[in-house]
Amino acid sequence: MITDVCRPIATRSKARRLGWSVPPNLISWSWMKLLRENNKTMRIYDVNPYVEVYQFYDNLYGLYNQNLDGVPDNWMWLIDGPEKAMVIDTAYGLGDSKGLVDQITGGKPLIVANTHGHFDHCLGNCRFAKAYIHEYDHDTARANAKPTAWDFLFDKNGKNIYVDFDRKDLPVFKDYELVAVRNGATFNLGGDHEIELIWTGGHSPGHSMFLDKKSRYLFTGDIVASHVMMAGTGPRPGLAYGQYANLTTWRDNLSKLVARIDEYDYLFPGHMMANIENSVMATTLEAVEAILANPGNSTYIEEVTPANGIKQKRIHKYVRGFTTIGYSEEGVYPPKG
Amino acid sequence: MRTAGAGAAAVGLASRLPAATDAATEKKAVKAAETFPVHPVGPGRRKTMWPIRSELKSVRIKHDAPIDPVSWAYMKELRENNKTRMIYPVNPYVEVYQFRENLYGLFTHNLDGGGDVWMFLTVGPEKALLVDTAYGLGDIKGLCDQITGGKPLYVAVTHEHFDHAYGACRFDKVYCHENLKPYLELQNAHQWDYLFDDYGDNIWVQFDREDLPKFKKFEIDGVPDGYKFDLGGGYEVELIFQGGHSAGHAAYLDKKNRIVFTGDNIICDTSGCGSVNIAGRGPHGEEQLLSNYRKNLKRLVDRMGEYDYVYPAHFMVDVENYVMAKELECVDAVLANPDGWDYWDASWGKAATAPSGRYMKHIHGFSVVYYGYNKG
Repeated sequence: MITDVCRPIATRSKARRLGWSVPPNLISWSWMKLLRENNKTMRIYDVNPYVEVYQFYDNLYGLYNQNLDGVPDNWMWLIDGPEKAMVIDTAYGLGDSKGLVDQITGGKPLIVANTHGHFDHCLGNCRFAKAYIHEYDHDTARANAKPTAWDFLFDKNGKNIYVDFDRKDLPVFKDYELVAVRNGATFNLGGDHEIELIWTGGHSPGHSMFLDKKSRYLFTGDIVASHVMMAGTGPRPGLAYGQYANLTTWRDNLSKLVARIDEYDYLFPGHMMANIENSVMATTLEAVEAILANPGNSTYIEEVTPANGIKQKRIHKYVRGFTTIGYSEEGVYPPKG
Repeated sequence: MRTAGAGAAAVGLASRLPAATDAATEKKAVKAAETFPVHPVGPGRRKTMWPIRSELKSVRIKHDAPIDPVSWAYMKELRENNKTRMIYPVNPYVEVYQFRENLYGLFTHNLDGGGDVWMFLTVGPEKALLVDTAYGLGDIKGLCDQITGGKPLYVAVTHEHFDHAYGACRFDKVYCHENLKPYLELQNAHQWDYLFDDYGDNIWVQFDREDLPKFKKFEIDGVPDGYKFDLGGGYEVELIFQGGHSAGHAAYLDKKNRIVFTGDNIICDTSGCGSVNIAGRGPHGEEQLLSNYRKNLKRLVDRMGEYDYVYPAHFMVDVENYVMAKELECVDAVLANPDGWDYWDASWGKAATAPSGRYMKHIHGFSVVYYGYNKG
């Protein structure tokens, strides 16, 4: 009998993992164990005892959040620019994330942006006054932002399901300004330090990456990540711009990103393994092309049950030397008509 | 180290231009040279295996086949940011990492073009055990003695390959699975010669040739499957025969730390654990057939209750134990349908004159099994 066990990783974080809905894969958990138990830059600040802070480069911090909904843990990325700082993704907002960011940057003015509109990347936005997101995910993120958004993290008796934490450390919901921006929007952190939003679609209609043109980092969100690269969920009833949540859209945009491979060196995904060489973008494109040429020729198919309880058939295609692309039958080509 | 970057090329071009007659012409000529479209590292800075910061005395010149990005990301995080890393003056070719209170990973360059390697040192209450010896570059024995405080040392190898067993002659006696004995007996004073070209220059890794071992004969103790090393106070490490990657390949199970050292049979880059129908050419070569490896792998999977983590001999370590079960699923799929590979590469063996096919099948959540397969 095979059981996918992710043994606990030693941490001083106040959050404690209780279980997973979709456990991380072998390569991701092994890398996380290495990072979290022995990285010399790791720090937990008093202002937010839930978040492990790692300094990857002089101006780049990774804020590691245990994912409250039971899928692999997620990153908030903090770029400390010359005049302004930028936060990419805000997780669930557990603990004082704004206070933490201010302490790291010394209180620099802040730009907050999301790679996409899913809960685990933007519910923390309400800790801040304003956030930017691609126009196709704006409505989803807007609809997700409400006082009851965190309720599904608790069972009917009010007990935490996946991660143990103090419920009063979740944000008290307040409205904030969510700004819809277009592909190519550029954020200036002072001087020539510019960050560009690059639309990918695929994972969600408005899923985007952020390119730090100065430091040559690419923040790849959920569509290039070591646990699984969910890239073609397909249109769902009621999903705005659902026609872009497919592999064909992703292929078209990924081709452009690979053509710009000269502009970035290392990849920083929204979950798990980080500081990955850019060649992964090119091998991912090869695999996406292979799926589009023959969607039936998958590596394997599995059934998963995320926190929403709805079983999904997940088709996997292996990307050489990395992990798999996950997709559904409806998520390969754009919907007809 | 190539120096013909854009800058150098541009200077070279400028110097070949006709002598300038006036300042304006000269300025124009230099400008033309500067804008000449020379790419510093070729078109497309596609990064694979970008150098990792290191203070080792050895310096990588080149690899043969590229290493995958997962292994490279792991090694980058480990080598650049791990707080336990030490380099001891007694052996400046080895980075020492402390993975458990009594378990050290000794990382060293693979001196040929293959992936860099681990030696693992477990310190028991009375004795210590070193699993694998790499190429023997630098004073490995002195390093072990310094870490263990001079405890008596067992030395054992997972298999006979260059990058795991050439350091054996640094020690008086080496343990291995009994199948391996005839292979280790072939070791000789010239085994390191291939690391240098006809001019005596290092080919793959820069290091001081003087720091290689002076070959001497060593005692080889070939032991059977199930042999137990007693490190004192009931601390046992058991040899478990595996075959697969080599005819006498062994895994070592540390029952106290609940860790199994699996050598080259499972690796996060590519796991070469046997072939469908091409037996090895040496004694017990049939143990390199996947069908035989499957039996031994199954024995290890059945004992998953005895270990939590798997330590491969290259790259990523501390892999959850169920990776072995995933590999078993993969091997079974290959045996059921050898044509069901996910991709394949032309592979050039050392001194091969023609490529052979190497087929890859994904191990879910991990890497691939690569296997040989003769369709004829």
